[in-house]
Amino acid sequence: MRFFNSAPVRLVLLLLVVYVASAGLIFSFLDYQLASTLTQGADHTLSEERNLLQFQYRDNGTEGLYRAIKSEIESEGSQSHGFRIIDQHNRITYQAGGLSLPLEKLFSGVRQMDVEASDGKVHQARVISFSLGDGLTAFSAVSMDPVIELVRRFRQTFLLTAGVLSLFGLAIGFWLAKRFRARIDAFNRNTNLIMQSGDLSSRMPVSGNDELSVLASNMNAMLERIERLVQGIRQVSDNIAHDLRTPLTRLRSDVQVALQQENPETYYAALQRVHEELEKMQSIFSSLLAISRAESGGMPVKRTVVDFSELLNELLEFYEPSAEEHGLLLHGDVAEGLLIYGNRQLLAQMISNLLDNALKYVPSGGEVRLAAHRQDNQIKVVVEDGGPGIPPEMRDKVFERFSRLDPSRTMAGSGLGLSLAKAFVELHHGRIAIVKSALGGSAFLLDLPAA
Amino acid sequence: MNILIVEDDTIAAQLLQQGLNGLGYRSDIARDGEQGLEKARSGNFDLWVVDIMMPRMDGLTMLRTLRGEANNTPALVLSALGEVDERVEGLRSGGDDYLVKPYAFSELQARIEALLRRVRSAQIQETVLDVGDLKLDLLSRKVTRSGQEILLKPRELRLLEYLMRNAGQVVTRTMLLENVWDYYFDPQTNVVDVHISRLRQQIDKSFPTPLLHTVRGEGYLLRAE
Repeated sequence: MRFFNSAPVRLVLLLLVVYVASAGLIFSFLDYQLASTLTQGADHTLSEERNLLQFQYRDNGTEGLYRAIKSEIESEGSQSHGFRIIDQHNRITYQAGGLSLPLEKLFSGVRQMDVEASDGKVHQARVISFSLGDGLTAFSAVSMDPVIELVRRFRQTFLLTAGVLSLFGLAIGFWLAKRFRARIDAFNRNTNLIMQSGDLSSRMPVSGNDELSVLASNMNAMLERIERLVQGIRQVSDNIAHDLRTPLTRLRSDVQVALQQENPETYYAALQRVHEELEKMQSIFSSLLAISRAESGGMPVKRTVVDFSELLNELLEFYEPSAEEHGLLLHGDVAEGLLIYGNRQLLAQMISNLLDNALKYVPSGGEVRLAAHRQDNQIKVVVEDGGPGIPPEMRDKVFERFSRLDPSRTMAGSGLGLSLAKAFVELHHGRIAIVKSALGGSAFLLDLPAA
Repeated sequence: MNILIVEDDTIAAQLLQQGLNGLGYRSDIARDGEQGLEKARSGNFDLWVVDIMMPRMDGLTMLRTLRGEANNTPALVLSALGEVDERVEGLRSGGDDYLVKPYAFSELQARIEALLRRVRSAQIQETVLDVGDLKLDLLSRKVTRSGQEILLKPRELRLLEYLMRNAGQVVTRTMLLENVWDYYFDPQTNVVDVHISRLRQQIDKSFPTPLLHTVRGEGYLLRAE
């Protein structure tokens, strides 16, 4: 039964049934057409004969009639023909040909009847009767046996061909089905293997470029994406474990030490530290939540047309005192009238994170530049600095959650600011990349669609 | 001052009530929006603190209903939802301020005080704000201290105005970001602190008594000694 559950086998069987049914239909039609055409032909011959014989009798009397009958029989073959002429008393006055006609009265049209031949065989024959005048009635018969034989052979040939072709088709169909099944089975074995072992590095076999191979390639691409996502999630959970375990351990020992004392002032100081740590952890969680929401598209974002030039200038003004405090030169070069269809808060936070990043990593005396202009339908933003820069191999990595250039993680910051910026850029259908800045450090290049 | 707490989480409601008692406020607790609606209609409250997600009736529906009845008691919306647009929705529904859970109690305290003060000062149309010898003329946008004019940039003026309107009360960094710059996120660097120290340079430096104070771990306070 498993065999008939296979989709390709079912398809082959269905095709075969359709093929046989339509061939049968075509054959029935041809068969009917053939039989009726041949019958009409016989009937036509008979009526021609009638005309000839009536004409001969009228012009040449019985002499001419008999002569005509003889020549008809000679030309058409005696075994398949029969003639009889009776007078008004139903006496046979003349008979010729191999078919002996039964006694009949004059009838109109052509009749089909069984007629015995001189060799004893019974033929199906078309029979016509007509009056010759002078009380004479003529009967003329022509055997349909050659026609019947022809039709029989036609049917035989058809059935034979159809049978052979069906068997052939069935064989080819099952062979194809088997091949198809073998490939599907290979897919199934592979997917089962992946499900059981959890090994996402396994891939589907790809051969040729038919639909199945395209499917296999797509499945492979999907596996690759899943593999990367899972790796990403593993990386993030490892980082979360690390980044939260450290403050948790600190919290715990802080509380433990405080509990061993009996000094309200120690309690107070410990509680304050606990409070600070908790706030930091809370902000990490909020950022993580915001990133995943932005990335998954689960963040409901109300968009309006935002005056991006104004927003950038406000941010420049907002950060200017801070930059000065850090001993940095912050300068802006923002074109006027830049409009973006987006969310003002998210856009501001995105740029703010990039500026925060520059403020954190560029040493005193350095330079930070925020510039924006429109090019075709894109708003090009650059946040660049004269800081230490980011090595090329790290440029994609810095956008990952919790990634920090400093592996010991001694520098301040959660390692989430740039991830958040990237998530918000993508939420606005933009792109972000890092290149080397002419100022010496790194340049964050943003492409955002203009409104 | 009498405050209505509308909150379905019993522990959170009790902690809030204890905190408010400690500050000298009386308070009453409603466990869901329907009960909150009933109490708000009958009771005489100066402020509502309303959670959004609650059984039977949510906080925003409750607020819309009360605002529809022309009840203009100030309302502080509390919610675990933190996204920008939910904040906008909260304010549009009739909330006067919006605070995301989990919050620091000092943040809540500062906002409650700011709201209560806003209601009180709304009745008086002031044209001049003054704290000690510091004066801000709201019409001419001129700032003087002891009669000496201080020149401020527009944003510094807005910062000072907000601090002066909330004089005597702690104002948090988040409140400043929201009200002075209209930013609903926290920059990762001490940007606000730098703006405050610049303002302090301008208004305090050449005078014997400082007016602008830092409250460690909480925020800032503008107060005449």
